[in-house]
Amino acid sequence: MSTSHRQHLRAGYSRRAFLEGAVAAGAFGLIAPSLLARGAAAATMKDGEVLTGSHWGAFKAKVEDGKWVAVTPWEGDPHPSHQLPGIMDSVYSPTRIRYPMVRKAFLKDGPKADPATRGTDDFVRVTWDQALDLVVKELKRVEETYGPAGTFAGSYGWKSPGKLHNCQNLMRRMMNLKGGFVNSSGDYSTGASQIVMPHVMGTLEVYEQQTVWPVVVDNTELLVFWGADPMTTNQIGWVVPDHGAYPGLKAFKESGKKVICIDPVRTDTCDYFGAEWVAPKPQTDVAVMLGVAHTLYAEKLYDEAFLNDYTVGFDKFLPYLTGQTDGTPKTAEWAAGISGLDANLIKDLARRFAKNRTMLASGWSLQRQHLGEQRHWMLVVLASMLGQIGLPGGGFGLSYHYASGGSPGANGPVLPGITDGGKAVEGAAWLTESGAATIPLARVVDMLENPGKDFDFNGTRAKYPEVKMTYWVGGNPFAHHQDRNRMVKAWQKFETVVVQDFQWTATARFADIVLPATTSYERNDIEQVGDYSLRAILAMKKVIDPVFEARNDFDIFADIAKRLGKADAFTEGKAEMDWIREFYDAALKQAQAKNIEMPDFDTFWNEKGIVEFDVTAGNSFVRYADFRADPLLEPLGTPSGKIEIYSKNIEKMGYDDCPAHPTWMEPVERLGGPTTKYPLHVVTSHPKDRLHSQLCGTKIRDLYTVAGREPCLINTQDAAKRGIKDGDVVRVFNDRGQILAGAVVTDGIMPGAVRVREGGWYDPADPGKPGALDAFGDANCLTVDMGTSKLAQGNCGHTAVADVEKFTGDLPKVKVFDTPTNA
Amino acid sequence: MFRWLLVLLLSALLGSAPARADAPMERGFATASRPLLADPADAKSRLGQVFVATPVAVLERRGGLARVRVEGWHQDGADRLLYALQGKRIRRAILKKDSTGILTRLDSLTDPATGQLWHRVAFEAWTDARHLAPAADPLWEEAEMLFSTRCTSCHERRIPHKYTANQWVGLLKVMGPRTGLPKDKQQLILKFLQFRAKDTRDLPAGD
Repeated sequence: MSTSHRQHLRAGYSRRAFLEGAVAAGAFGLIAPSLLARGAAAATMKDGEVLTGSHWGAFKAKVEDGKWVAVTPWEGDPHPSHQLPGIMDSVYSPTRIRYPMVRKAFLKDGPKADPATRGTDDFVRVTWDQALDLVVKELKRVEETYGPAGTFAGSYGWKSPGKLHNCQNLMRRMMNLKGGFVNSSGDYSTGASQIVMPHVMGTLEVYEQQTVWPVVVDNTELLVFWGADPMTTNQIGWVVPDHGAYPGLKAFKESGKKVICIDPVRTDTCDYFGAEWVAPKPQTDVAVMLGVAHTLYAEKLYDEAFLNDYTVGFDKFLPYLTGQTDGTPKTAEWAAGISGLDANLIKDLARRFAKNRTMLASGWSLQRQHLGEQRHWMLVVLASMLGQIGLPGGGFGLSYHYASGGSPGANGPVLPGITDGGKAVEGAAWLTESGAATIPLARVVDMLENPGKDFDFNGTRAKYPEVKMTYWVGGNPFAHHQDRNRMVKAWQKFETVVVQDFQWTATARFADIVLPATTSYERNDIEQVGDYSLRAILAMKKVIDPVFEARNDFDIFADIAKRLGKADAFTEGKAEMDWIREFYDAALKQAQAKNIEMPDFDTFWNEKGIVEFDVTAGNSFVRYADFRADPLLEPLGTPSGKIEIYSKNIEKMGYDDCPAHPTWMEPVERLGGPTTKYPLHVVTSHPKDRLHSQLCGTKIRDLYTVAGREPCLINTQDAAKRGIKDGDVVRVFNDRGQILAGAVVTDGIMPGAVRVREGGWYDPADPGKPGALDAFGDANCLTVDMGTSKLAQGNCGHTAVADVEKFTGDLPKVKVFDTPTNA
Repeated sequence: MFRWLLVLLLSALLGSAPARADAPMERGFATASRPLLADPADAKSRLGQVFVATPVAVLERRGGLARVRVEGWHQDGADRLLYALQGKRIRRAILKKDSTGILTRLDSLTDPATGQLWHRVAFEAWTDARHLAPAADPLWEEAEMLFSTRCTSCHERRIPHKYTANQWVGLLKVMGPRTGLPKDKQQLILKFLQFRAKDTRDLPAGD
């Protein structure tokens, strides 16, 4: 790591030299007047250091002669991400979108242009006025021709943090002024659990504070990471991460207490703790949990009093567990047959879970699989049988791996942010599905393919709308959506695709109109530090002037609103700094009411640029302690007020793929599955050196690529069988797609599984051709695109089987990191 | 609203209504969560608390206080917490442990969804008259404004009827504090959402 880091820093310097050249060329080229004028007006610092923030943490940016030249972590960050240098490169890399661009065929023929040539990088540069006129013309045409259901604005993705330049809210703010639109619900991270958990626990679980690390360090005796790699994934946060989980992880390691990692891969977390590695076949976790539960029952190791006082439905689940209802007792031996684990290990896990104060910390990969609703539901049943929910350091947690869940909460105030302007809509129209309709986000391709078709979702049935246009901001669906080839074809149903971004992602390359947005570092904003801890409020000060012709999301949408005759409704007469001051003042008012010291806005902005808050009561938070203390006064949000092992509400829905209690069912395909064609499971973990697909277009790639491609971990035995050596370019393929990747031969992954981390940029050798070979390694070329079940309709990004072979053909060049022709 | 009137009518017929049957019943809605007192002259005679947006019948006014009648449902064995509907945890009032003796039981039923036994009860107490409004609409308007401005900046706007009344309790418990609003305003947003939830929006019983 340290070696590659040094390499990276050197690469950074050469990039800077390149950039200076590029700007110099631009200055004498056709953009010179606007660039110079913009620079003069903005009066950004020429030399110095600016504190700002990002999804990777707060950092200081060093500026020399108006250029950003170095990045160092904020000194308050206990565990800075090694990805910080990639952020700086995202501003200047060849993948930066410089100018407004329109696809050549679209510029000529408009919405009648052949959609099949999308993705071929055939763009023409236009002026901002031309681009925005065209966008507005299309918005109006689609609204007039097809009504509000014609526009899909369910734009999703990891937009940059910042309470003002929240591009997705700003886009919907504009759309709400335009008329109606089709929206989306849910997300790609927790699609299944965020729907099933409210039935089971009465709340989302996945985005909620965990029993805090100091309590875990003091009380937990056995820490189990079940499909979670917190050392890797806590690098990022939805706001500016505080990295508060890392001191907790470190303290737990130093305590010397036992850690078990249940995962097909020996993760960084497993290595960090020197943990016991348990590797069941992927997607068989429910069977393993049932085997553990059966052992607890058979050996009378379960907590009957807890089940009676705090849960309902164990009596209905038990006949299934014992096999009374289906003739199959869910014994450890039965679970061993499905999962490939030793039956004695499963029994031993049960005994150790029961004997110790055990925290079952699960990641989200488990539920991002076909039938994913069952996984965390069964984990809750297991934790209920153990009876430690609500005790310090016991129970379960679904967010220890995300944004430093368990980082103790501070007593500070909360910043408001820009809204989607819903209140500006007359009446309560938005109450009926944001104007026109809402679809479960991950069914977007199904919707495109099947307008008018009925779909089930969480007890309701509705029809897919017929959408004709989309406007995507702050996201990269050509990375996060499954079954890329199906998607490429379905995307052709759109007459018009607008993408606003700062990177030439595959999504931007498959657009008709591309608008260049500023990065967070070219504008002013404000944000909280610490998703769960809310530890500080940070001034996200502008580091440099906008690069090339990039404009702020706020300004772009304000200009569109102006063209729609709604300028004032959009801006409310306020400019960037007015909004930021207003958000800060709202927090200041709360602080004053709570007697918390906080400087006035000007002092905050002009001096330190950060205000930190004390952690007091937050240090001792135990999740569900209140429910455990008095389940009648602090009931859960379920029908019974208790944990629902059996859900009558789900029973009423009558879904064949989501019964009323956790159940083992065969997923559509899996390693060793009865009808599965391919021999290897593809593990698609969250990246270590990216945020999903973000920073893939930067020099930080040098840290991990193998033969210039996304790495593919393969077990030594599987590699030997196929004649694959470390460093070879391999082709990973199934009936849905094929990708190239660089082989990493290792015993750190179980036999029968390969790992290609999600988020590698899609780089088709023949763009637009179904089944095209992907030259870089986008794992979602291989995954299935189906709902987890009729209940949640979440995505199945961890359901994929494939085969791997050494690639011996002519190697296609990786092109997706180059600036598109003419751009 | 209809059910509330019906309940009052029934109560009157059953003879449990404290007000004279020929006097028009004055209705009020709590504009804030306020203490409930046994004795209007003794601020320490606290019985519990009425929650924001709870409907009451105003029986008598004395100075800044009003004697009110509150009705609600409680789960069998949990008589301190009164809810608007049986099985739906939309809070109307909470009583202190030793104050539940003031409850009059009106009727009981077994909730078909959970098999739990629920009781409809009523009580009278004194509360702050300055925090009683004659209509609930301004409260709901405020709630809608707060929801649309404070619950959309971190995540996608949630649609009230995508969740049940009880699920909203769990969601607001976590998300409420993240609005930065005072507790009572969080409670108001919660009630607004609960009466527009998947399992309540078709009921005629909205407070």
